Parts: sequence; structure tokens; C-alpha cells
Amino acid sequence: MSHPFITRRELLRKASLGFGGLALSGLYGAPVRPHFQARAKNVIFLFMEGGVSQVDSFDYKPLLAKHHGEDPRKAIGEIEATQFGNVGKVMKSPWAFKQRGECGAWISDLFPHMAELADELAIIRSMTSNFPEHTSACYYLHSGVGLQGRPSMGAWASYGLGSENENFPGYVVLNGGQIPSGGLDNFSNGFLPATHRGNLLNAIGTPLANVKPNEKIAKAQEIKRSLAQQLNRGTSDGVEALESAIFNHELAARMQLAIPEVMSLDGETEATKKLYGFDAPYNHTRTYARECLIARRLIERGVCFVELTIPMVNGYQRWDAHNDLVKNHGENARAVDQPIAGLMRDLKSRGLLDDTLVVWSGEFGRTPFAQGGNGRDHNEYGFSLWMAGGGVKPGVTFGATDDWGYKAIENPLQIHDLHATILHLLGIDHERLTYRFSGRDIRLTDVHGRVIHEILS
Amino acid sequence: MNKQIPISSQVARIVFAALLISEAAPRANAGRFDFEGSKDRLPWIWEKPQRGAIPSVEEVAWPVDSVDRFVLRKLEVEKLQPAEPASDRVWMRRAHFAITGLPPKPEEVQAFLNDPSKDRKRTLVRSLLDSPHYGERWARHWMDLVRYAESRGHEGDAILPNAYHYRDYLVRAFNTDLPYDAFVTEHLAGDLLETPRRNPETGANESILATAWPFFGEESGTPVDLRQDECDRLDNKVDVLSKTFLGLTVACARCHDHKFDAIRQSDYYAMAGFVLSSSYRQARFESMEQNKVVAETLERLRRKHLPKIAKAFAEAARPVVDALDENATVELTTSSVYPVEGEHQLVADYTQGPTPWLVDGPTFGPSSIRPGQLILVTEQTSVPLPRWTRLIVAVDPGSQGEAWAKPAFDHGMWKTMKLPGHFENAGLPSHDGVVWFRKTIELSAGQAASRAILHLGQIDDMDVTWVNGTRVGGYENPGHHFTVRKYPVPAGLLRAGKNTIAVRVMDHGFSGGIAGKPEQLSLQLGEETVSLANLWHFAPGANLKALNTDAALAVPKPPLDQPLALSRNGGTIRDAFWNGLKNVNSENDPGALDGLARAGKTIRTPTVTLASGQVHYLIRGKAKVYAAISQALFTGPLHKTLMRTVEANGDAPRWIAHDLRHYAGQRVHFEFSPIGDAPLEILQVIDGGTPGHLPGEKKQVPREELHRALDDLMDGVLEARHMPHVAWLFEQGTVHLSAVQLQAWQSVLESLRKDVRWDSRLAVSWWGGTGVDEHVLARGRPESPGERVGRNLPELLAMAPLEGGSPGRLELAQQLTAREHPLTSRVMVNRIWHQLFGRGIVFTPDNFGWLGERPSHPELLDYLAVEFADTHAYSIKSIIERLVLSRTFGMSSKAANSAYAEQDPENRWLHRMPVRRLEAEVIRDSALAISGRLDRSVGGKPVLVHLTEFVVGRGTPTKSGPLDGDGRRSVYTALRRNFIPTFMLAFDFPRPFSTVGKRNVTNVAAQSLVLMNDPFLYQQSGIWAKRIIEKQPSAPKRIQQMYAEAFNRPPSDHELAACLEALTAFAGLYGGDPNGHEAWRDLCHSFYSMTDFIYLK
Repeated sequence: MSHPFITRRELLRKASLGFGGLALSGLYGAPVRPHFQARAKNVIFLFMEGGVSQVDSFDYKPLLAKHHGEDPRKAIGEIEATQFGNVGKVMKSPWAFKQRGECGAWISDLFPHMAELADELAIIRSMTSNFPEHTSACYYLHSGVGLQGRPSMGAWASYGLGSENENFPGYVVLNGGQIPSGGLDNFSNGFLPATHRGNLLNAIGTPLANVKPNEKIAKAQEIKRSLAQQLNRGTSDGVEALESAIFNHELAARMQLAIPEVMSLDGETEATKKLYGFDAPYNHTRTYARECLIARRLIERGVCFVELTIPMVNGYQRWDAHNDLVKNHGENARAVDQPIAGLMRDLKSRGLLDDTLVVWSGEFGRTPFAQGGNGRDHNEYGFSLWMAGGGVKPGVTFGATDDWGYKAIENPLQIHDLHATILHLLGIDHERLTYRFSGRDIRLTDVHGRVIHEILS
Repeated sequence: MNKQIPISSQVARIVFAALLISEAAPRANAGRFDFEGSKDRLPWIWEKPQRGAIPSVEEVAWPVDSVDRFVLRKLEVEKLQPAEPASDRVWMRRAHFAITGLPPKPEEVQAFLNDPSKDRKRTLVRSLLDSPHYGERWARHWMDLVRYAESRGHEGDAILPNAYHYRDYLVRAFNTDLPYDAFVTEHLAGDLLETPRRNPETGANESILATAWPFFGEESGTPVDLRQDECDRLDNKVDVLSKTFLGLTVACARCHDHKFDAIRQSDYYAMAGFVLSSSYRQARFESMEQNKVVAETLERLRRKHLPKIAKAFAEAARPVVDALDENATVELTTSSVYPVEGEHQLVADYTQGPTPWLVDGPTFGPSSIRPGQLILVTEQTSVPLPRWTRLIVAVDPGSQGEAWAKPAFDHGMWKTMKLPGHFENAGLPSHDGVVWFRKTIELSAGQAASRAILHLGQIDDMDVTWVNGTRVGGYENPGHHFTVRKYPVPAGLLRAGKNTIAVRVMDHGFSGGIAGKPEQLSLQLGEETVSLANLWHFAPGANLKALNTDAALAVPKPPLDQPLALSRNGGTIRDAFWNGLKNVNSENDPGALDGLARAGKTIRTPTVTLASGQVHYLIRGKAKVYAAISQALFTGPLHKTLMRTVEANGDAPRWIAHDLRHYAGQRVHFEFSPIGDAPLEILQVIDGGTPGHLPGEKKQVPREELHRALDDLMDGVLEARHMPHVAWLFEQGTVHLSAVQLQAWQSVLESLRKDVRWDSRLAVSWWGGTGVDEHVLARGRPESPGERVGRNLPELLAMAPLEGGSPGRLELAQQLTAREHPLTSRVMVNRIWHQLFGRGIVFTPDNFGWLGERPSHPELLDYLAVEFADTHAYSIKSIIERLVLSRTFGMSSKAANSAYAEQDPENRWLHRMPVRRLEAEVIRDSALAISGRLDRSVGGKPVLVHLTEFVVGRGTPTKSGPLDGDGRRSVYTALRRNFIPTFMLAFDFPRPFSTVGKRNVTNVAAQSLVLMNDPFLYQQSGIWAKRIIEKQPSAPKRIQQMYAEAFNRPPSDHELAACLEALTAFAGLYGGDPNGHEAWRDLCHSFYSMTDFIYLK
């Protein structure tokens, strides 16, 4: 059967000739063709909520071992206010660092699987945030503003590109269990039309709100739908909104089938599942493996922006290692490391990595000195993230923090730069993707942002 | 098959129009800000609306109201025919939804159709406007503007306690048709009104409830940088203020001059000052007005009684002074002083009369107290009796009616004991509690007439002493076991013959009794001394150990025995009269502010900028202090130091330090609230410096000086130099007023207490502080403060500069509600128009500026703005009635000519009424109304939100609410910022973060999924089916009933046939019973997926 509907993107391409740069709103909510040639069609955002410690993962600082146990005010110098104000001693990383791959990037033993893929990654070691507190930092990372209510980057991407597949929304959040600080508003459409909201797909349990019929007999729903559609046609009077609603009912019926299909992993081979870690002994590894595999299936079906939340590894502690860094980061890494590596390998072997941008990041980093005894406090002044796939130069390291891994000093970047780069790779000029709300043309990057060309291929 | 989504030229045109505007707009970065140019580009919004001529039209028969003439005129110019009138059914359904947000019941439709009167439409509209559901519907519209929510969002989604009173306020305000100018005034200054509007049923302060709106914004629990956080919150409040009331976007001038409108960056900071000048509180709105009257009465009565009692005190003190040896000197202590050395900032000095007097509630009286001021106390609170002392007195047999103090009491059966001595050694081993002693002595007439002083020596621990049944002295507080008792006996009390001395001794540990030296135990009669040593009768009274705590319940308030006090240092004094105020049925602030009910008993200092941050409070008593740095309402682990308990027990005030150095340079005010019933005086608050304490000097003065002090007291004027003398007299505790005097004052208080409203619920409200003007912050950043700007509106709307330290909001309200204000009335009539006609005359109701849209009918906008103010006297009901009855509102949603879809694709000229997607709440409420489950009760606490796998996150409410929200309208579902139900979000319920005068209206598949699969709708279809089966006997009748209830019309033959056919198919799935509930439930459920369910024609 041929697909009865043209895709939204195709439609808009047709409908919007001559009106570049301005978004249609309200009705279908997606604007125009990309501003220029896209390097990636999709984004998979691996959100490491809570803040991964850069000096224990991607930012090797031998000086910490040398000054381990010293007063940071003496060793490092002036210390900024931290969230908990409980400044301990300089603390070396409990994990050994090694140079990996041909590129020789320093990656610690915290992520043994990811480390093997060093030559695929573009590691940024000079990201900064504006907020040392989770919620504001989470909002900021997602929306470029540290407050509630702004559209998330996924919503902007969806607004900019729509979904290739009419059966799916453009922005999907795969929920591993850990809803970030600030709640679902991290995935908000803000003032953008509701269709661009991050649609929460549960990796476990009911996948999507209202996608599960109440009817015990499937036929009952079919009769209902057919009755409503038959009668709706009679009353639509050619009114456009009503005809769209009729169309939506049909689309919804298809989504209802498509969602379980994408969530069902029956068709995946054992080898694939194993690659992701479906047979891992740790249950949280298995949860995240499932998310990663579904993420691949979603982008295969044309979902533009897929975000993954982490499993509830340490309750609400996420990567937030205020104490017992070894246990906290160890367990979180154990949950996500193999699935992420599996995802990368799988994408690559299927040729999907060329079109898919993978972004791995927390909302901030952690202090190079201890909080209290054996934890680390929040650090907004410098942290690491990596990008890989569509349009990203593999095997590069960009930017640097000071000798302590405390503050970004070489090519310091802002979250706005990350946003500009993501949009750029999707073929969107971050300065031109705007939405008029309350009298202002608002963009994801506000008045900031520069594309990080240095890491682009 | 190649069906295309119908994207029409409509959308393209919108885009095109927008493009034209954006190209014509001045370039954002094109050089300097051109204020004059910006002003001249849109001159009309800065000028007062004018009622122009009512246009003439060709089709004179069409208009029924002048409003229609404006609309028709445009249509004629554009060569468009207005649509045919809508059918009565459609009109009626439309009016119902527009006014109440609920569908009409079938019988209401029938009654309307059958009504033969000419005025039936007006009758209907009026009855709808009189329905309480009108208020609910229009309150919800307003809630979109002020981003109403009942929690603070952010990480923990902490609750905003008692927010729902604002929602109920709105419902009542609309239902009682509060005129819009008063409505605006209450929103801006409801807490500052001299005579606020009171709820006619409860007497509660209604006006103050309107001032909750500033606090609906997001609040971070643990901002690291409080100043940055304050700037962000401020931005949001200014944004809501300017969009809601002015239809202007001032907040974008936070970082730079407005790029398109004549709004300077300084204008933003001028408006920010209004927000900064006031703070947050939970107000006792139900009791405050009533208690204000009581407080005023109390103050008046104090002023009336004070001179009398001062005089009586002076009279009673004469014999005490006279009893002193003529040549004796008395040791007085002059007042302590509390000097501060070094550079410091005096934040508040309550010893020097009222610094700005900022109190919440009557607890601290009408103003601060000056040094040397005499105070008429309301209870024995300056040194309250210990609880157990009161307990003993309450249960002690001899104290009941002072029975054992009376001369007539026969103590002949009592044992005797040799005094002085400890009673433990005389038959009362290990007794703690009360022991009564009595002695009868015979006096001659000469002896009885002489000046008498009773000496009892040291008493361990406390005593009250009577002579012939009259109290002559006593020490009822602990700590006096070394005090030598010396009580003057008032003249005339002794008589010839038998005289009785009764002493009630109280001891609360170790040994006790009248235990001084034998030579100290005597009655001095002029020159003669009669020894009282040796045998006294005694009897044990209440035993401390035997007391049980239940008795505490029965403890009456102790009688006043000394209503006069003297303030030696001045300050604020917590008035014990108000002990007993209780907050009921309310929530407290979560987190660090919790644990203490502060409402109605808090005093705050002016706002200052912290210099050193080394803060000291000069206080006596016990208080909770909240250092409101940047007015943050913190709940998380940070900033706990801002909340402190300070305690300075003892007789003299003390300096208590509060280290806030971490916050130096930030704005702060301090809020003090008493803890429990403990006394509290606050004298000074300083920032920096080294505070000291120099105890008063001792000096010997002759008796005559005491007399001169009493002369002063008689005159009602106390010279500063006499303060130590009067203080000494108070401290002796030996001057006692007559029972008559005491009772007069006591009964005044008791009758006044009956008028107090002790219990009150709490509501969020503004609290007027001292005027705070903000600095212009370069690029919006707090680290670069520039010049300070006075509080004001944007320059082109500006009011006279504010004088003094008032918060300025009353003045702001006056300015905005002045008839000549260019925006207030226009913005509101446009909002009303937007709700009724689906699009505003200005399509962007929150932005009348350059980036908003130009009005489609500018003359109509002005006409309505003037009419609203003049003809309708700001009555919202009245203007709604008028507009709903217009010909324009009554048009069909089908255009007169299908070509108009091209000619006027946006329906900008109103050639028809639009088809409208109902709002999220209306869809849900309709489902409840149709099923019959709708609970139509109005107001009250929110119903908990129903939690699902998709309504999750940190700070999840502890309990999930019912799936059907108890059948209440959606406006009553708890609005937790981080937990908005999926159903609501799918249908574009606006996220409450800023003003949304025009909701998004999307049309997406997720909505269809909700209609198909949402468990709530499925549940409602079951309820509806059950009712339908019971109500109607046959399938066709049932289907007709369903159409009447859901769509207010009969089904067509085709629809009836299709439904019957589907019914048969459903029944087939469940065993073939055509009356089966499951089959009917499924048919009912199908109705939600019909476009008529969510679209209104």
C-alpha cells in the first residue's frame, strides 16, 4: 500500500515557497525547508542529568593527583561559591586515564566502552553553564534560558523541521525513569505550538499517553472511529479546521499502531540486543540499552529529535555525586556506558551515523575539589561533553579547562554555542529560526550563539 | 490516493502579512534608539481613545447596535456581505459557551426556542451572566493573563500556599460584576486601600486577595546567586504587569531600549521599582478588617484610660513613698544605653518613633513606643507568670475567690508553725506548691490610724500578701527568694480590734517558706514596731507534684494587677492582647519559612542594601527573623542562614548577632515574628559597627524626688529625668491600684476581646514596603548597576514622580484607571472582544506595540474603549451583554459567499463568526456536563491533580487526585506548575509562565488520541450511557437525547441511521443486547471523536 499522505516536510516545502525564514504557526506548526544543506537529519541527545564529573571522565588533570588532599584555596586559589558551600580538599580522580584510539584522546576507565570509540567522538572540554543549580541549569541546557516556560531545543528542532514520519511527533523523549529537575518543562514546547512538545515515551510501561486503547475488543474502537469519521465528513462543511481534525483522527489511529511497533523489539536480532547490553547483569544497563535501541528505531522512522533520560540508578541522585563519587559515577556509568557504545556501533554499521548527530552531555560539571569528604559539588565554569555522527569531525578534542579542570580557559563555550551548532548541523540557521511571541521574534539562542565550526567535518 | 493536508492560502497570507510587517520594521541593530520615531510610528497607542462618529452604512437594516455599524462599514468597504444570522440553536449554544463555558441543557434549549417574547435573547444573556458559571469562565480567561498556578515550579515544585483564594476572588469579582477600574485598582493596590471592599457574607477583606498575582511566577528553591535570581523574577513580574494591564511588552527593555516601541530601558527599571517596593506575605484576609477596627478601638480606649490609670497609680504610690523614711535615699538606676561604635548602617530604629511602620496585623500596635512612654498593658505579659504558677492558682483551694485571704475565714482548725522558718521542717516535708499562712492581731484605735508598713523579711520563693482581705503586695515571679518584703499598708485598711494578715507562699523546688530573720517579721506602726515572729497558722494549698496537666485547660487568664508599664528604651512591643490569633484551614510556606505561623503578627524593616552584612538586632524576648535577601522564598538547602531564631531573655534588651556577610551588597529587609506567646520588643537593627551595652548608673535620690516624679505622673507628662523614679516604683511591685480601677480596664479588654476575630484563613498577598527604586542595569546584568530611576510607568504614560517612601502602587492604580489613560480601557475591551469573537480587534491582545498587529477596526476599538468607561461604567457584564446581542455575534459561521475564503481568509473583517476549537477546560467540562457527572458547586480548595505515568517528576504531589477531578469544573483542579494533566496540555492549555491573552489553537493528532483513549473520557461515556438508557425507552429516542445533550440539536436522519447501525455493531460485540450498557457506552464514547464535540460553530 502506498502511503496515502504526503509528509509534512514535503507539504510545507510545497506550501511555503517564497516565504523563507518565517514559520507557519498554529495549524501544522512546522516552517520551511532547511536554510541550507543539512549534515544531520536527526539528533539523539543522551542527557546525563545531574552533572558528570569532567575530571573523572574526559578531562584528564594529573595535577589533581599531585595536590590530592590539599586545601583548594591554597592549591587552586580563589574558589567560587558552590551550591552547598561545603568545600573539601583537592581530590584526584579514582579512575585511571589513558590515551585512546588513534586520536589519543584521554578518557578515563569510568567509560571503558565509550573509550573504545574515541576516534568517533568530538570531545568538547570547555563548555560552561550559567547556573550551578540543577533546575535552572537543566532549563538552560534545554532551552537557552534558566527559567521555566521556554521551548526546548528538541521543540525548536521539531518546529524547524517537523517529523519525516506523519505517524510520529518530531520530538520524542524516551524516559528511562529519571525526569530531570524542573520536570517535564525541560521538554516543553513553551510558546511554540503544542505539537512540538517533547512527547514522553516510556521505555517501560505504557509508552505514550493515550496511545493505549481502553477497549478490550479492538473491533469496538474501529467501529467508533468509522462512525465518527463518517459523521464528521457530513458536518465539516468544508471548514478547514474540521477537515484537519478528521485527518488527525486518522493519523492518531495510525500512531496508535506505530508506537507499539517501534517499541516492540521482536524483530531485532539477538546479536543487536547483545551489542546494546540487553544481557547485562545490571538491570539499569538493560533499561538504558532498551532506550538506546528504541532511539535508533525512532530515528529510522524519521523522528527528528530523540532525547534519552537516564534510569533511576541511585534514586533521585542521578549523576549528582555530592558524596561517594565512586559509587555514584560508577553505577551510573555502568548503566549507560555499554548501551551508548552499542548504539554508536549499531548506527555506524547501519550507515545511520552519517545522518545522525549524537550529543552526550550533563547540565554542568563537577568541582575538582571534594564536597565534604568524597563527593564533588556542582561546577558551571567548565565541563566536558561530546558530539558524534552527522557532520561532526571524529576524533577531535576542542577547548580546555585550567590545570585543575575547574574553569574553561581555552575556547570557552556557552550552551548557546551548542544550540547553534546542533541547529546548524540540522540545516537551520539559529539566527533565522524565530517565533514571534508577545511581540518579539524569539530564537533558541536569544542574541547569542556561534556555530562551533572547529569540530565540524 | 493522494490526499493533501488542506493548507490554504489563509496560512500563506498570514505569513505574507507578517513578512511585510517585519520588512517594514526598523532594523533591530540600526544605530541609536529613536524614541521620537518610535512614538510617532504608532501615535494612537499613546493617546487617549476618542469616540469618533458612528459610521453610516448602506445596509441600514442590518445593524442592531452601533457596534454593528463599525463592522458593517468595513465589510461594505471591502465589498463583503455579512453572513446570514445563525440559527437560534447555534446562537444559543454559542452564547452559552461564550458566557459560561458550558453547553446548555436540552430543556434550556427548548425553553429558549419556545419563548415567544421579543426580548428572549436578552433574557437569556442576562440569565447566563447571572449564573455563577459566568464568573468561573471569565476568571479562567483572566488566570491566563496572570499565569495562575498553585505551585512555584522549578525543581521541587514547592506549593504556593493558599493560592486558590485568588481564583475564588476572580470568580466572585466577575460574578458580582466588579467594575474594571476597581478590579485594576485591587490588583495593583488591593492591600493598600484605606477602605477595602469587604465580602458581604463573611466580612473578609476582598480587595487584598487580588494582589496574589505577582507571586504566581516561578520561584527557585535554591538559587546560588540571589541577585541574579531576583532580576529574573522581576523580569517576569514586570512582563506580566505590562502585558496584562497595558498591552505592552516592557520586559524586553530589561537589557536595552525597546527596539520598536517608545520604551526606554529606564522605563523597565522604573516599573521594576513597583515590584521591588513590596514583598510577599500570607495575609489573614478574613480577620484583618474586623481586627483593624478592634485595634483602633483598643488604641482609643488606651488613650482614654491611660491618664486616669496613671493618675490612680500616682495616688496609690503616694503612701508607698510616704512610708519611706523621711531622710532615706532610694537607689535608682538610670536607663541602659546601647551605643554603636564604628561605621554602620541603621536599618531600623524603633526607639525613635515610627520609622516606616510596616506591620502585618495588629500585634505590634499602631506605632512604636518612645523611651519614657507609659503603656497601658493589656495582660500581664511584660513579665508573665510562669505557667505552673498560673496552674497552681487555678487549682489552689484557698485561691478560689481568694477564700483563705478573707478576714472572715476561720483558720482555727489549722495547725501552727513557728515563723520565720522553712515549712519543710514543720510538718510539710518535701512539699512544693502553695502554703497559706494566717495571723490575727489586735490593734488599738491609735495603732490602726498610724502609718503602717508590713515587714515579712525574705520569702522563699513567691508570695501574695493580704491585710484584712485587701492585697497589699506580692512577688509572683520566681527569682525573689532573697528579696526582703516590705509592704506599705494603705491608710484606712487597719482597724481597731482584730486584724488579719494572710500570706500565700508559693515554692517550686527545694525548701520554701517565710524564712528571713525574726527581727524582719514585724508590723511597723508609725514609730512603734509590733513583732509578728513566732506562731502562725498554716495550711497547705495546691501541691505542685499532684497537679495534672489536664488542669492546664481550665487555667483562666490571670487578672491584671498592674496595667501600667514604662518603656525605658522605646521600641516595638508585641501586644499580648492579640495572643490567641490562629490561622486555620490554611497551608504554611514550605521549607525554611515553615514551622511558624507568621501571618498577622510580623513587623518588617525598610528595605536597605546590606553594607557589611554583620547584622545585630537589639531585642528583648524571642523572635523568628527572616532576612529577606532579594525577597527570595527559599525552600532548599541553601540560604538557611537567612531564617534565624533570636532570643534575649532577661529584663534588659540585648544585641543579637546575625552573620549575613555572605550577602553583603544585596537588598534586604528583615521580618520579625514573635514565637508563641513570649514577649517581644525590638529596638534597633544595625548593619556593621560594634554594638555595646552600658548598664544604667546607680544613683541615690531623696524621697522628695519621687514625689516630684509622681506630680509629673499626675499631670500625665513624664519628664525624661523622672523616668528612673517611676521605673523604680514599678519595679518595687508595691503600688497597687484599687480593684475598681483594675476591673474597669479589665472589663474594657474583655468586652473588646469578644469583638476580635481570632481565626482566619490565609491568602497570598502583596505587602507594601518602603519605596525602592531600581538601578538601570547595563545589559540587564546585576553586576553593572547604573543610575537609579524613580518608580513610574513608561515615559509616554508617566505619572507625577512619587514622593516619599510609599510603595507607589496606589498612585499607579490611580494613573491606570484615569479616564484619559490611553491603554487600560482599550486593552480590556479588546480582550473581551477577543474572547467573544475569537480574535481581538487588535489580534495580539498582549501587545499593542509595533510588533503586535494593527487593529482591524481602530475606530471601533476606540468607540468601545470610551463606551466601556462611560456608558457601561466599566461593567464587564454590561459590555458582554451588549456585544453578545449584536448582529455581528449572531452571524452564522458560514460565509455568505464561498469566495470570501480567498477574499478575507483570516476573517479579519468579520464577514462571519469563526468556527472555534473549544478550550481544554471547556472540552473537559462539557464531558462532565453531558455525562451528568458535573458538580456545579463554586469555589473552594483545589481538587488534587490526577497523576499518571505522564504526569511525573520531582516534587510529585504526595497524593493523586481522582480521575474525574471529583466532577468539578477544570478551573478547580489543582494547578501544579510541573504537573499539568496531559489532557490539558494536548488542547493548548497555556503553561503558566507569562501572560497569555491569546492561547495557541493547534490541531494535532495527540488531541485525537486523547479523545479516543483518555481514561477520563472513557469513564464519562460509561456514566453518560447509564443515564441515557434509564432516561429514554428506545434506541432512536436515546440517540436523539444524546444529540440534544452533546450538540444541542436533533440528529439528521442519516446520523440517526448511522448511530443505530453502529449500535447494532457494538451490541454484536457484547452478546447482541441492544440495551446493554457496554454497547451504549461505546456509542457515547464515539461522540467525543465527533468534531461537534470540540468545535463550536
